[in-house]
Amino acid sequence: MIDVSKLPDFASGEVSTFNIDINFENLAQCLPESHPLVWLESHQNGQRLLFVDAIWSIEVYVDCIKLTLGSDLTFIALEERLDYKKVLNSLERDWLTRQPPEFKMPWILSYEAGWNGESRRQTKEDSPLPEFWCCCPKILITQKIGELQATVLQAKQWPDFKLTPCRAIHASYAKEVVLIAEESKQDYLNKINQVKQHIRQGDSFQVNLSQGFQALGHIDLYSWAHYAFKQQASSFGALVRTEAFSLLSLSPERLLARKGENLITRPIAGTLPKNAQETQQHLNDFKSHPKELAEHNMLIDLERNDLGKICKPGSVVVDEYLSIETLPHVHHLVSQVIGKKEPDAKFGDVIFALFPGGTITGCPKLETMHIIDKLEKKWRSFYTGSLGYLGQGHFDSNILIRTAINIDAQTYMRFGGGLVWDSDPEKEYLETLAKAKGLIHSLLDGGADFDSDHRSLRQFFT
Amino acid sequence: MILIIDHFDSFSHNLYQALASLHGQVVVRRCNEISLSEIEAYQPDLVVLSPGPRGPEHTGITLDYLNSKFSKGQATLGICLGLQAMGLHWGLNVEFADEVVHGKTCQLRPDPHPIFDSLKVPIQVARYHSLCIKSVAIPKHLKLLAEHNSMIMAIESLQQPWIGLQFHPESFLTPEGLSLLKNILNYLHDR
Repeated sequence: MIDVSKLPDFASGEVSTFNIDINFENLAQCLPESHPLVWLESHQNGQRLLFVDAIWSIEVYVDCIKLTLGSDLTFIALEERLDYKKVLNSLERDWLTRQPPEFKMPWILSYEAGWNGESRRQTKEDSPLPEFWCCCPKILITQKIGELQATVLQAKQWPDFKLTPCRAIHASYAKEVVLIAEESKQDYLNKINQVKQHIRQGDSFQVNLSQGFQALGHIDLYSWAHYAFKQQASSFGALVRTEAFSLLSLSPERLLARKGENLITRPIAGTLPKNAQETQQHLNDFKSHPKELAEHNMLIDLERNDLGKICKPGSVVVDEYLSIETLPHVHHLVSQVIGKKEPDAKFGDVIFALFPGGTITGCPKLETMHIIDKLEKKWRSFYTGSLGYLGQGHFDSNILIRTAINIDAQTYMRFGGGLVWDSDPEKEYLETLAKAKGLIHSLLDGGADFDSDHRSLRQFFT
Repeated sequence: MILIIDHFDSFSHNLYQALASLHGQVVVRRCNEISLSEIEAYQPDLVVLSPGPRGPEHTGITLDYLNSKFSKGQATLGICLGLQAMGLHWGLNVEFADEVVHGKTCQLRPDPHPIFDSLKVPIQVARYHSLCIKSVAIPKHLKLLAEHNSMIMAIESLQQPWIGLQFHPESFLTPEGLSLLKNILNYLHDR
């Protein structure tokens, strides 16, 4: 275990705050090379957050904790998986409350951390990535989206932070990168039929299955992020770089936010791939289609349930129902469910009441996670996990969909969708490709190409 | 207090929310992590057998509970899988429904009964099931309260204070679910 109360504070003495000029258009050019770096787009809150460098960082793996304190590395062996709920509770209670009120801490949970306390029926290879990561940044920069100034928060002992161009942005950021699909279309269609058998038997109402893609070769991540963020302003997008891994996310989905005693989740369920000929009538039909509605409604009941674990009785309400959100390649059905937090529910209790998000598991959650575990041969890691920040009395977090995970010269991406009894397998397959468009398209733009076995996939992305 | 026996479900806390706002103290316990003596020790006003995945044979302590002496005088509400467990206990056939209905609604027109008092007919109810119990050849010790397409939607035992519902009163797609739960609480309390 690790006693988080002993971790150093953000500032031993006073903190300083000052303004800097910050231009989104060339932000990727100016970010320092230091690790770790977390860039969070938070359009729902109208702000952009940058966390630069770290006083300490924690990576928790299945069998060990890696603690980085300045340049000192400590490995702590684990005999069993950490209880992540307790870790998050303790971080909030024993460490965060000592920090300045404006302070925020970035954190990431992998999908597999969502098995917390539950036993898995299947065994598969663990991912080489941590199940939980967080750090105490040295520098915290907050910018209101659309404004040219940002506020820097840092300890007085550090030199004043500056943003200056320190690298070039290249349009061919993925040249010589080869794209492959991890399974054939037929394999994926077969799995959809297996899911339907489970639904028929009563094991599940909806299973959120995904398929994997890999990009092999070196990608210039800052340039990729520069172009990807410019093409698609994503409500919950992010770029993370650490020694161990990098991550680029174009997530449109909030997992959970806390504002005082209010908890807010915003499930996305229901997707219509965009097409050039569509009319308002298509959108109306989409909203009232029995299959889409059923898929959406059962997840609203699931989110109500999950909020219900840590909210005051009677306070859970669907306060927005069936909005359409339009992204560059797809339309989504979105609702919002809110509740009032029980006073004694801590950060970990609250996050793990909802994590992993119902829209990326399906329903009922636990049994459906077993089905996913059986059908998906590879780990998900950060895909469908969550990235967020924690402040005092507030936090926000996304669901890491439309997300690429990078380790050395390998980049992993997964794209999925909710399968229900009425699902048309062919349409579901195409829906996963529509969701893949944002990231894959931008890789193709950067010079990547499918390998010869997967060349036929190119038609979906051009 | 009300005890909810949770069959690994993702709607049990919707029941928790609804019942806690009606009745105060509600406890949710997993069906594989509670014993009969613990259930009895709670001295619950109501035991709720939750919905859940898979079939009624995968309900942990629930079938033992339904077989126990204690449960015979105990107010008990079975919902979806909970009803199907009651069905299995009663020797009824739990079978594949003709249609798979998940996250959809139907309209019920039940005969008058105290649990439906003051509810607007037809009653819109949410359904999540691919298994069902047919509403034909119901034994004399049971009373059918509502049906849809020859499937049991609501049933009560004439020997024990037990009620089973195939639909989901806790869903946001059952607009009058809270009133229905309140009626059931009062009705089972009086029996």
